[in-house]
Amino acid sequence: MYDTWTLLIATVTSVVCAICGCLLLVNRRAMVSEGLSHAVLPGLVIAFIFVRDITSPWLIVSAAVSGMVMVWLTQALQKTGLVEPDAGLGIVFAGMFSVGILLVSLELENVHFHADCIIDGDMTMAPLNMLEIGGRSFGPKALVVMSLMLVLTLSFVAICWKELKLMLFDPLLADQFRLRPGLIQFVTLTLISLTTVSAFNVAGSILIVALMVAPPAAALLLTNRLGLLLVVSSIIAVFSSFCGTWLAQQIDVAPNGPMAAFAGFVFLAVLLFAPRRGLLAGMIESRRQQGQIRDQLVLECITGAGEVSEPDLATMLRWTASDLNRVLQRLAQGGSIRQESDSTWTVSERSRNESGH
Amino acid sequence: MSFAIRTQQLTVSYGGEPALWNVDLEIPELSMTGILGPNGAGKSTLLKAILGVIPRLSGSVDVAGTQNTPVAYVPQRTTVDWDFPTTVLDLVMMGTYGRLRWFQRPGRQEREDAMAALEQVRMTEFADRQIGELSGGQQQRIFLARAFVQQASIYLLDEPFAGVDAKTETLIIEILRQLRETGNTIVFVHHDLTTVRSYFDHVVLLNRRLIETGPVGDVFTEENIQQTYGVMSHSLLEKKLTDGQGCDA
Repeated sequence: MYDTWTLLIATVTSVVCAICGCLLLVNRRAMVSEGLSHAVLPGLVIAFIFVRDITSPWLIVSAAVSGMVMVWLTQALQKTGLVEPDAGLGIVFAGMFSVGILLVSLELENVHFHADCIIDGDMTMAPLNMLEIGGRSFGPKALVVMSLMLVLTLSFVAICWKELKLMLFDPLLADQFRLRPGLIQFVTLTLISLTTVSAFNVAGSILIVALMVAPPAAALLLTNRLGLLLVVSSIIAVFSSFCGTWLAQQIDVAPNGPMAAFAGFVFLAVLLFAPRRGLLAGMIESRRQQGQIRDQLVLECITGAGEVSEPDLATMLRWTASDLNRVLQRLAQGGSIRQESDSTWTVSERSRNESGH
Repeated sequence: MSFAIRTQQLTVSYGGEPALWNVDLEIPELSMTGILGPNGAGKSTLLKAILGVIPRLSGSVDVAGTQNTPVAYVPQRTTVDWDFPTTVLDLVMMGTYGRLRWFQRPGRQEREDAMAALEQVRMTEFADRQIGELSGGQQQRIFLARAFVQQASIYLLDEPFAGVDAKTETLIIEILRQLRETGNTIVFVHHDLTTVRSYFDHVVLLNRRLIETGPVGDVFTEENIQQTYGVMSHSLLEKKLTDGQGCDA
């Protein structure tokens, strides 16, 4: 049962993170996830100092507000035009994270609130903390919270699909149609912020970033529609969770590291092997084009000369004899040139007729 | 003559120097109007103020028409991210979102309208392509199609010919002329002064303040161009030189 809970928590967390990550990625704001996952810390700590209860829902509220403050400060800094957007984000979240760490070390020395746990999270502990109301168990608390976030996020995306899409792609048109892009963006960021906070306990800040960036980035290389992007990233997220938790059981470690590793691995595989936009596909396409250009060049040279010997042609093009011979054989097979004598080539009747038209 | 758009004492400031200063103008209905001026003259700002998407410091904007969205706007191509995961048909359908209720999804009617608009700009065969795979001219054409499905009567375009080849420019201007024939007002920001006389019947010369506005024959004069751009145009320079020689002799 324990392993099943871990797997479920991992899967739900990674899917909701992937969906939030897609919304950031298509807005070219993937690094906001990095910022959020750190900037929620001071909010968590400040709330904890007041309520002194690590399970209080106030922690989530306060941390989410902290995340929103980070986004707002970054945007304000960006609007001054004095700082690059990336640099602004870096300054704000690093500053807020350091305030959080400082508070932890000053105020909470004797409390279970370790810096390690903040960075790595602890998924192995999550299934042990069950939600019980009136003596009935509702499963691990982390699973309940993350499922709630998944339902909230999916409902928002499904209901506000058109408004969301237009806000992400063309906020000016959304504004002109009175579709309140500012409000939609606020709700989006609130949900992402809440997701980050909820995932914080389970996943820790590094895994959150991995889950929010890697699956969407891989999916973006595989699809060209927003809806499919969400579906494909979710599938990659589920795959990484299954593989990650399985590997973690085999080698007896927390699933966080293996999950991040698998998410990264899937991205790398897609980057190399994606059918149209992958590196390999790009290389093959580029080679094919190079080949076509070579064929065309040789054909034009022979057409221009009428009849030409192989050594002359090699000198003209500054190619090695073997390079040239390969192209000549290919053209001859295609029937556009033919061999006159041992090393003399001329254009075939067929391609002469074709070029005549 | 009735107006399609009228501004009175329109002033817009983004915080510093006003981008537009006390602009009074009327754009006649069914005209093909060019907005001309140097960089930073407030041309794009004027379009956005007409749309009502930026706050005004003072003045008013009146737009004739009774539809829900009487104005369709074609932004500069570079204002959106062409790597966004969406298809050509999807982008054109976004133009129909304005007539749908909140949370309502586009349906068959919207799809048909979008296909018809693509037909109008001769881009039907590209409907399922990712928008990033298009050339600059093709991107401009699908932006135009997105404006068509808004069923507006006034079209505002921000530099529709920027980064577009001559063939596409001819195609777009033909489409715009047809659009005007069928009872619409066309207003666009334009940079090439050599085509002003053939494209427009009405011009607005702008350099933060309104320099002059009116029929192209009356207003598009050497003096006004010089006042707008702050430099002498080639032919005015020639004229001055010839006059100068006359004095010497």
